[in-house]
This record gives sequence, structure tokens and C-alpha cells, in this order.
Amino acid sequence: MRLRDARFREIYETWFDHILKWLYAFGVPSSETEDLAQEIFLVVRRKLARFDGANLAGWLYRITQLTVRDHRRRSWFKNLVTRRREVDLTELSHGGESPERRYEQRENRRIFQELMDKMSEKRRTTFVLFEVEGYSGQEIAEMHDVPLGTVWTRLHHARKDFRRLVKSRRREEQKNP
Amino acid sequence: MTPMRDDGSGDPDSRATSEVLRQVSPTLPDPEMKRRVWVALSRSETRAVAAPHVWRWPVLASAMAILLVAGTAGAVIARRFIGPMFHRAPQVTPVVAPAAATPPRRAPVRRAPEPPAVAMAQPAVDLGVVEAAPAARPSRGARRAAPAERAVARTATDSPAAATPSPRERAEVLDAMIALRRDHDAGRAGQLLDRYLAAHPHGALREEALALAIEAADARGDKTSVSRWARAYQNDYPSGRFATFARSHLTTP
Repeated sequence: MRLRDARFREIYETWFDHILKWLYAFGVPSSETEDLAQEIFLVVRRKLARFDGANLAGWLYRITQLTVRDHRRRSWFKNLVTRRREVDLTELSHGGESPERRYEQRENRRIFQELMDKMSEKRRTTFVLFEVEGYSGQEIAEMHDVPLGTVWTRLHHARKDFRRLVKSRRREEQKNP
Repeated sequence: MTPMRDDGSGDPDSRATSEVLRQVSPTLPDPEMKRRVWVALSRSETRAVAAPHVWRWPVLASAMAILLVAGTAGAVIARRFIGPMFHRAPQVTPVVAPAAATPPRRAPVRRAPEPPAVAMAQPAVDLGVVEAAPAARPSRGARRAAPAERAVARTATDSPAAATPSPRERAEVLDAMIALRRDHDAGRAGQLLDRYLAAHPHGALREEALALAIEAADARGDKTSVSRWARAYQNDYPSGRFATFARSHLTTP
């Protein structure tokens, strides 16, 4: 399998941005997105010859899911040893926007991630992909390799969870302004 | 199903959740990152083609080193600690007739740590052990006993015609055998054997004592004694187990 392989190039061009969205849905920090994307495409290149071509989105999503899981396991061990502090690249300054706007965006994303961390992985990914990234229910069903009804069920429960979490957060903010 | 961010017309809770979602922007495409990752993938492929399986050599070398160290350590441990456990001679339980008295307790006789030079030079040692002690053949029980004791004990059981040796007789011959083969003290062995043969001219272990006396005299270089004991053996046991050995020393000038 060569990188010049047209098939791999086509997959890369088509799905790279999707994989970034999926990584976000999995709650991967921006500082690790690039490394993980590279790792995912290394796996894709290695396994492409054995792929049956049935459900490309589901296959790529599964690779992303397993790579993120491996990465978290390794990171957990590495952090245990080195106590490395995670640096979110979104926190680093970049030109184009005012400091107030950047702070606001950062704060919103941080709050959203905090809420998402309290949900199960299946609900969280379904919720983020549908509500934030704009995927349709059918697309999510293909990615997760589940029936469409399952996606709606997960989304329903995820929304309930989200409402509850937002409500409790507002209540806390009112108590401790 | 409509997204929550577009559905903010309900109760205050719904409006609040919609507001939170509206504030979170979707992940935007990052062409620069896409280009960087592609370059990194190209580089990784180039490296893989240019140097295939380079990483394996350190791993293989480390594995070989570990195997060598572990193997050497295992061999040393086996030789120093485990091997002696199997070769250690147990407490001697002499084979005696039921009527015989229990022999006095003796210090356990151990195999000499290395083959004696005399034994290598003189076939009589091997001959004596092999002929007098067929138990030296690889049978599990016999392997654990010291060869000298096996020889004497076996003799006592294998020769129904011979009288049962008394513990004292056995001790004397064993002492001589230890002096000769373990301590390589042929002089002392000769003295002990002379004393035994003089004290017990018809002793149950006379045959073995004569063979040992030939061997001891030969180790001392005392050719007169060699001939004397060889002749005595030839006269007393013309078809004995050590006859060939005695005859070879008899004919030697």
C-alpha cells in the first residue's frame, strides 16, 4: 500500500475534516487532534487493503474510536509518570479576533466540554455530532453502525441529560454568583 | 428532528440549553493542519520504505542479550545450587543381614568433588566400581549412593556364598577406599588394607580389599606389593570379579 494510492488519497481528502469533528465529539483536546489524526490515517493506510468497502464512514469512525481509546490509555499512563499539563491550543492567542471574543469562545467551549464529560460516550458523541457538528440521524447511524431508531433514542436521552446538566449548572451559578 | 439550538421558543430551561448550544461553534475545517498531517504521513512512509524494520534490530539485540544473561545465570544456578542437591550422597544405609548389628554412625561419605588423577590413570578404579558395584549403572537409587559404599554394600548382597561382613570389617575397607579414592592417600590406604587383610585372612570383603590393595600399591609405585597382592588375588579368586584386573598387574613387569 503506497501513500500515492489514489484510494487512500481520496479517503484522506474526503474524510479528514470529518475525523476532526469526530475527535471533537470524543472530547479530544485540540492540542492532541493533529497527532491523533495522523495516527488514525496511519491505521487507515495499513488496513485499507483488508477493508471490504461496505460502510466506509462506520469503518473510519470505528478506527477513530479505537485510536482515541488507545491514546487515552497511553496518556493516562504517561501523565501518571510525567504529570504533564494538557495545553489546549484554543487557549493560545491567534490573530483575527478581539481578546474579549476569544475569551468568550474559550469559556463557552470549556463549559460545554465540562457538561459533555458528564455524559456517556455514546450519548455524548450522538449529541455533539447531531447538535453541534450538524450530522443527520442517518449519517450518525451509519457511523455508529446502529439502526436509525437507536440514534434517536440516544439523542433523546442525551438531550434530557443535557437539559438536566444545564439546569443544575444554572442553579449552582445562582447560588454562587 | 430539529436541532436544539433552533428550538428556543419553549420554557426557560429549553431556551437556556439552546443558548448554550448556540454559543458553541462547530469544528471548522483546518486546511493547514490537513496539509501538515499529509506531509507527516508522506515522511513516515518514506522512512518506512528507506529503512524497513530498522526498529527490529535493537529489539532483537536486546532479546538476545537477555536470553544470554538469563541462560548463563540459569546454568550457574543449576550447577552451583540445584546440581549438588541431586548429587549429594544421602546417609548410608548399609545392606546387612537381619542378624547383623546396626553399624556405628559415620560421617556421610560424599563423592569426591572431581575425578581423581589416580583414578584417571588407573583403570582399576573404574574396574573396581563397575565390577563390584553393578548398581553404578544408571538406576535412580544407586546413583545417589557413594560408589565406594555401593561397591561394598553390593558385594555383601551379591555374594551369597561369602559370609556377611561385620560392620567393623565394612568400616575398615570403606576407610581404605576413602583414603585411596577421595583423599588420594595411597600410603594410608595401603596400611589400612594391610591391617585388614592381616586381621581378616578369610574376611567377607577380602576380595575387594585385595583389589583395592593392588590399586593402592600401584598408586604408590610399589611394584613388589602390586605383584604380591595380585598373586594373592589370583590364588584365592582365579575367576573372581577382579581377575582380569589382577592378572593385568601380575603380568606387568
